[in-house]
Amino acid sequence: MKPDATVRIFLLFGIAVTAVLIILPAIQAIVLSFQSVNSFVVAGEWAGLANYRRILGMPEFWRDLWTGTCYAVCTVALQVVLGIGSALILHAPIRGQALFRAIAILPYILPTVVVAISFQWMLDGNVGIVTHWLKALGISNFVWSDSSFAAFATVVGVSVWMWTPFVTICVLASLQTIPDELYAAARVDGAGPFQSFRHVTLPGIRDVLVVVVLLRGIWMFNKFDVIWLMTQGGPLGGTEHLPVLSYHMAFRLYDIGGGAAVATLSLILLTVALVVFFRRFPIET
Amino acid sequence: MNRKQTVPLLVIAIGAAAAAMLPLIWAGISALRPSAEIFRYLSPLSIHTFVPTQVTFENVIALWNGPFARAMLNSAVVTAITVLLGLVICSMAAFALAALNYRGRGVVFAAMIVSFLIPFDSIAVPLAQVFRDLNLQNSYAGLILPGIGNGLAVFLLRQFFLGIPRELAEAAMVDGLGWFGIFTRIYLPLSKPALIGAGLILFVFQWQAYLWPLLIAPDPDYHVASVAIASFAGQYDVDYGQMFGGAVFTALLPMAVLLVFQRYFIASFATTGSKD
Repeated sequence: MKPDATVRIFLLFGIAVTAVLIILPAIQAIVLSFQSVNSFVVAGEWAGLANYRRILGMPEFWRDLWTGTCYAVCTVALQVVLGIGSALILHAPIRGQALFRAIAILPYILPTVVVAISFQWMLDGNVGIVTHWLKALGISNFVWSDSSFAAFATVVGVSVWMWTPFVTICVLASLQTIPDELYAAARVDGAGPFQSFRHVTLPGIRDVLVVVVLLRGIWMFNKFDVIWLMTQGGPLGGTEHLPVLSYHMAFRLYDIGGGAAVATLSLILLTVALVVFFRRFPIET
Repeated sequence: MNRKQTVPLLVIAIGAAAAAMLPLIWAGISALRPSAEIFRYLSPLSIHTFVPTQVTFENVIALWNGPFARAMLNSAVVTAITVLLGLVICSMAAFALAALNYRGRGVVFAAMIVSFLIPFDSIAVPLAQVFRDLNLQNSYAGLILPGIGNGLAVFLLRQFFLGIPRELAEAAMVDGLGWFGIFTRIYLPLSKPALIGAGLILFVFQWQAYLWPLLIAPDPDYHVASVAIASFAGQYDVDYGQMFGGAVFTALLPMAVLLVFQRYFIASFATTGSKD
């Protein structure tokens, strides 16, 4: 079967949309990273590698790279573990399954602003309900936004709360493709619940998990809004990662070229990480 | 499954559901309190912490009489058009990618991954510049356009299309149907779950959008719900009652959509990891 004009037109259309909305702005951002730009209105001057040299010499860059990597690894790992767990529960025939499934997906579709505001309010040092519960448990004067570690744990927790449902949906969908006969056969062979999970369920969802880890890894490394809305990278840079650094440089310090250079470096590092990932877990296309 | 296993499972499920809904429930309770009582019953922990002594709709009424009503309308219009346009464009692109022969597949997959790699936040500034040059600031078109080409929606649809047996298309071709007919009469009708899944992804992206609307539509007439909620937290004071009310209303529409479509949404992800 030869693709005809329809397919070519569809393809061209798709390429055109991608080019205008993603590729051209991305190229422009990379061009900006080689310029010295201090205003959103006036064109910048060519600066060669100056931005890159400056950023690679900044201790904040390396600190934020480390923070961002920890954030991505922690959130993805927790999302995968909790996502598999909740998918297994939602796969079991329980009463009210449809409602539970809808509730389980809910955090994923809420606007980030709503999530950030609600959690900030629950965790507020003076009027937060969680703060009061902790006080009732004898932990007083706990202010999550005062300590780097607590703030980091909080943004990880909120991110996990919000994006675990993506893993749940994917795993749940793939659980439904594992034939019941395999479980029956495993039982006949004397496998307990743990063994049948290890030898039937895990191999059955493996391919989906590889794609899910890949996508969530990319997204969590680039995730900007939760951290920005909750902590703006603070306290004292304790939750600052590369997207926040880039935004901070461009919009607060008006160092637009520098901000673009941070984003470009982040893209290069992520690409390298992906190549390594594909070597280890080849995905057939 | 026997009863013995079901009861603990149900308990875990209810606990997890409560955890998933807690922030929203808490926001809802707070929104129904008079402003003076929002902070009053937090401590010591008692029944009144959760049950308002006095239920009032003053926050809700003020909310809908203020700029939030306009913002909700904007959000609804922008999201609805994004989903419709986005489905047309993403399904066309996905079909073209699925119809390509085997040699092109690796390149296509790589290109899709690259489109995931570039975070929208980091291209938002140059893109906003382009949109301003085209005079699209403070307009529905400016809010809608970045949402119509969604990599994940294309990915889901393409994976689903690849699962449709090629023999169907071949047989239709023998009967004289062109690719356009194959697309509209065979692929689209067979792909209901994937279309719903892709539609929900487009919906979520647009309904959650915050940074882009802030950049491209600073005019209050074009504020979307996210921006309107955030603006309740002013520089000097925060209108908590209205802010929580807004948060709950912004969550209601996605909840309703989800209750209706959750089955298809989950089914649409079934082909995510499949090999061809």
